[in-house]
Amino acid sequence: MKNLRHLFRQPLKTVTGIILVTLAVSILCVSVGQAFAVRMTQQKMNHEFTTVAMLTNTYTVPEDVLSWLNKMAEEHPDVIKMISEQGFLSSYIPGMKTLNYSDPEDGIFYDTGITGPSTVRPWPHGRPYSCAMFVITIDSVGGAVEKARTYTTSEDLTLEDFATHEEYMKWREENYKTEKLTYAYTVEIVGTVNEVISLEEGFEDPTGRTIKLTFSSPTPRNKDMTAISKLKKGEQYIVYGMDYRDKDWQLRNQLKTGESECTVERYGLITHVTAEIDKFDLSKIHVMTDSDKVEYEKKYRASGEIKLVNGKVTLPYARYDMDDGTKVYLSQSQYKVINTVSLTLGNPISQVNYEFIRDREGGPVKEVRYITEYTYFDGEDYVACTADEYTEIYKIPTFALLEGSAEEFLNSSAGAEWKAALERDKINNNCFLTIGVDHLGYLIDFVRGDSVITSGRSFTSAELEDGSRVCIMHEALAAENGLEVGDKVTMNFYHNDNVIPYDKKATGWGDYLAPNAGFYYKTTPFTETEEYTIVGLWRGELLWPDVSENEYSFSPNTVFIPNGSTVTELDRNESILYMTPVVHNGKLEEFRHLAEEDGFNDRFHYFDRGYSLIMKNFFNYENMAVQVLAIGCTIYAVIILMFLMLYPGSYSKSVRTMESLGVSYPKRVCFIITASMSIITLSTVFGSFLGTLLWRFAVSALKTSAGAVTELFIEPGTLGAIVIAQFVFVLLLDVLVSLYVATPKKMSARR
Amino acid sequence: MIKKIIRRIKRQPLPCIAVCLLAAVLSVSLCHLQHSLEEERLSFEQTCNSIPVHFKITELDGSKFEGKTGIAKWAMNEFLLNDGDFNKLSRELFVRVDYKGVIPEENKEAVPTTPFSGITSIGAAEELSPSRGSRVRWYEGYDESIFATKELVCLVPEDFKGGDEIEVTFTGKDKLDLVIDGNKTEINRSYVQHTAKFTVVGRYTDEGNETVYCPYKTMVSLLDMIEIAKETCVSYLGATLTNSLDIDKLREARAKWFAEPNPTGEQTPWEGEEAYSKYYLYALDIEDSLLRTLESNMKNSIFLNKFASVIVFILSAGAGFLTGFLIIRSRKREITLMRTVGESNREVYFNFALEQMACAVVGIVFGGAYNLWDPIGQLLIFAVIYYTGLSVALAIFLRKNLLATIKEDE
Repeated sequence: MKNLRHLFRQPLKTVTGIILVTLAVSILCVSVGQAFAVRMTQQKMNHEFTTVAMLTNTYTVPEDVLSWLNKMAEEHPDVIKMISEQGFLSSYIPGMKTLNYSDPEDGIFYDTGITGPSTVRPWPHGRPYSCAMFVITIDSVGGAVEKARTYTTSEDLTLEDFATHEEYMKWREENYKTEKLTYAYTVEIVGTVNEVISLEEGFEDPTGRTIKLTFSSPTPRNKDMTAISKLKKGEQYIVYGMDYRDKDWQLRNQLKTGESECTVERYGLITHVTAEIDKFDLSKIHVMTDSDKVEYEKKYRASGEIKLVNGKVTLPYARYDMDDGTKVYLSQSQYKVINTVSLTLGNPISQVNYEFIRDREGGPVKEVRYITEYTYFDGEDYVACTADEYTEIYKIPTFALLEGSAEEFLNSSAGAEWKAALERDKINNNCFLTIGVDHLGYLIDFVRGDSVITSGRSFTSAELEDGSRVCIMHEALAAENGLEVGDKVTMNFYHNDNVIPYDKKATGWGDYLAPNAGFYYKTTPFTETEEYTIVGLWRGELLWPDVSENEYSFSPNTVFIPNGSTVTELDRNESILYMTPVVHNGKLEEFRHLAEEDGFNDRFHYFDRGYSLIMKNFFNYENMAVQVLAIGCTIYAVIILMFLMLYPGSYSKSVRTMESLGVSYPKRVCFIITASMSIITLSTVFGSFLGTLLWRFAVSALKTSAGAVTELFIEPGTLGAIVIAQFVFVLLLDVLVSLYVATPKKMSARR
Repeated sequence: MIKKIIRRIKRQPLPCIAVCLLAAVLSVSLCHLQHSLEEERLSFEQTCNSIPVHFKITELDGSKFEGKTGIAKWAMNEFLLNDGDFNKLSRELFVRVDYKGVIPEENKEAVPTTPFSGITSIGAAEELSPSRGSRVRWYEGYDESIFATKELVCLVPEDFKGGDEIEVTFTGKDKLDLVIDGNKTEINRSYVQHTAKFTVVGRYTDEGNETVYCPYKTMVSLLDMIEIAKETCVSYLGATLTNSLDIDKLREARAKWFAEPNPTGEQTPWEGEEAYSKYYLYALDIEDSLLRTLESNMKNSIFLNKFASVIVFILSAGAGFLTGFLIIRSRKREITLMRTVGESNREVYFNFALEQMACAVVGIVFGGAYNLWDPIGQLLIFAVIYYTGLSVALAIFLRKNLLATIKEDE
């Protein structure tokens, strides 16, 4: 304490000393802060930019590629960051409408078709399930129609398997055999819709219109077929199906887009063009008479735009006269669907369930087998059961005679199953595919820029690591539901039942592409309910992508969440959508080299979102920041040196006086150290406080998102370590200077 | 005067050398700081510029432009004509026109079914990009640059059966001739047709794709021959920004001609002189998410660096002030002696001020030479603040009573 009294004797000098060292420490803190910010920026950019490999020409991940990737990940962890496996669940979000692929207002409609996806977009018709329940009056019941398919029983060879055409033709005459197999019996029931009990929003009201119901069965004699055959004209039934189609609306859209061809007569000229019909006026449809057809052919040939089939003009079946005088000529199949809707009735076993048994792929059919054993998912594992048991689990209501009102029926015990179906449909109309990601940038559609974040942000590294309850949804979906970034939604998760017969996966693509929410059913109860916050909105190249052009696309009814944000384990499959090899940023060339060495280079295409372009310049930027840090440290050192010269260094006179009075060397050293260290200690505290305050002020002044700002603060631990380190450094220097100043000098030096 | 200063410095070399060194080191540091900031800024610009910014016409909801009815002529002109607002900002244009032709060998019905696309580069036909899993096999001597030419060459699917020379007929505008003969009116309909012979210069693999790709200019001239306006056939129109930092100019140009994509696809009123219709007809999607990510991260960091530099400068200047102050204080005895022997306060002030400023200036001159005395302003400010510090110390000291000062010293 006595030594400290010395400081109060020259208060101005003491204060200026404190200020000097405070400034030095502040400079150090601010310099470290900016270097820290650059490091955080680099880490953030490393997180934002991803380098991935995309599998080409496949929908599923081949075994050999997967083994090779796993092997490389083990042997070269410095090159391969991870094999990211996305998982998926379905989630029911109460009150949130899905986007309707076949929204009539859109005017664009593509039938899924069964034959193949090359010219159609394979998203399921309806949103996402076109379930419907009506009260109808029977107009007619058709007889059971046998449905047969021709299959080859001989080797299925083609012209290319023979040297000459003659040899091929000879073989065909002698060997080519086919057989017809009856695989189902269908009954067509035509009725009139009296009342709509349930129909997805957006469809036109079909009340009063003709409905064509199709019922099929593998045999003509099971109990359902028996019941169907007893349907009487004029009776009222309640019916339920899951593939409702407005055939009239479908036809009008197809005529508008040209997907369904027609001819149009204007000013006496007939051309093959599209026709825009808002609504068919039934009084203006005329079936063509023979004389009409003759007249038509004359005009058609005179019009110049001739399309002949086998040298003949295709004559239309009917003519529709529009208000503006335009005449639209329609075929018989087009005429038949005017003012009609359709629905298929049936339980799983009454759908066609058979398989061809062959010795080898593509070989002749040896046997046809109807499936009698099934598997079903009971939440734990797959369980095998008989066909009857399967039907019992998955059956849905089909048709029932209605003697009173529909409401009475639904409230009765007989209508319980029907009521349950209605409730289930309400849930299914609000279900979304939910994908858990390790990083949005590991999804190919995002990494190649086809899908982008349009509002808000992507997941931060903290959210992905912690499994935070945040989500990113499609901007159109959010707009449809009046949602914005920052809003919360409650998600009820459930697994997909992969053996359910009603799952409307995109036709032709199986389980692997164009995924949708799974069908909510009693076999897949809710596993978890959580609230999620929307942090970003995304948009793809097309609202409803063409999967044949972009296999990695998602529907707008897809919500992304961080992997690990659910307690429920995510489902996975071998789809290329869900597995992405991730390479460390900047290591693309090494990965490419590894792939080339093992002959896998052709299997991949690579994306790094431009990382390789920017990183060279970014490294320069980082170097500059390091130089700024060095400058800050230099200035700090110079100021500390000045302080040491002006403080401990200036005590030489006092020390010589003490020496002459006989004060010991250690006491003299102690005197100097105590005096100067007290200044240094106070200054270190003030300086670190001032430096931190200045830095926080600067960071807070930035108009950025909360996450970005948080990441740029220096961690208290790091700051503490730096302050302590500089304190120790200065202490050591002070001790050295004190030792030097307190050292006894020769008499001549004292003078 | 100079000799006097040198004499004084010789008497107390160490403090003067210390001042010199301090000034030199701080000058070097401040100059280097400024230099680093300037390089940081350049680095930032170079980094941003290395990210290509693509923009393209889309539907109002931001989805891919379907091009079913082509595109308005004014929109094409803004991209294609030299004085077009978007042409001026672009370094690479991506344009695609689609039309169907007839290859008689393949199509006996003579119905135009073979899709042809005239493109300026593969960037205008995303389905050909390797990122879509497609592969292009060019014949020897040919590559993507053919799309910039006007030659009758084309790229066909790998399984295309038409051989390496294909004749294609394009049917264009229909002509109606009315022949009135008394009471009878006859309508004769004919079409403008043109047959072109293409040379196949490459083949591509893309499942389900049957399109034949040819140079854009070739297709445009063919369309001219059959009297079809190219605008009606455009299915893709986009470009790459020349300078990524001109993104604000691009946004300004967009506001003039196109809407911003919005999720509902609702129509936005088109206001302003250039409006061709009541509402914007198309949207322009600017693919700048990567640039924005980079910009926001780096700008934050650069802002903080600039802030740090300013703080460092202020703190360093403050340190200079204090150093001057303390150095004078450390020479109290000498000043007292000078006053005692009769030098006036003014003379004492000038002597010390000149001596210290000489040391400081020498230090600044040598230190500032590192960056050619740039920024000269900061160096001068530093010198002035140092001078202010020592002036304040001198002023405080010289105002004190001489006897009191002597007593203090004792």
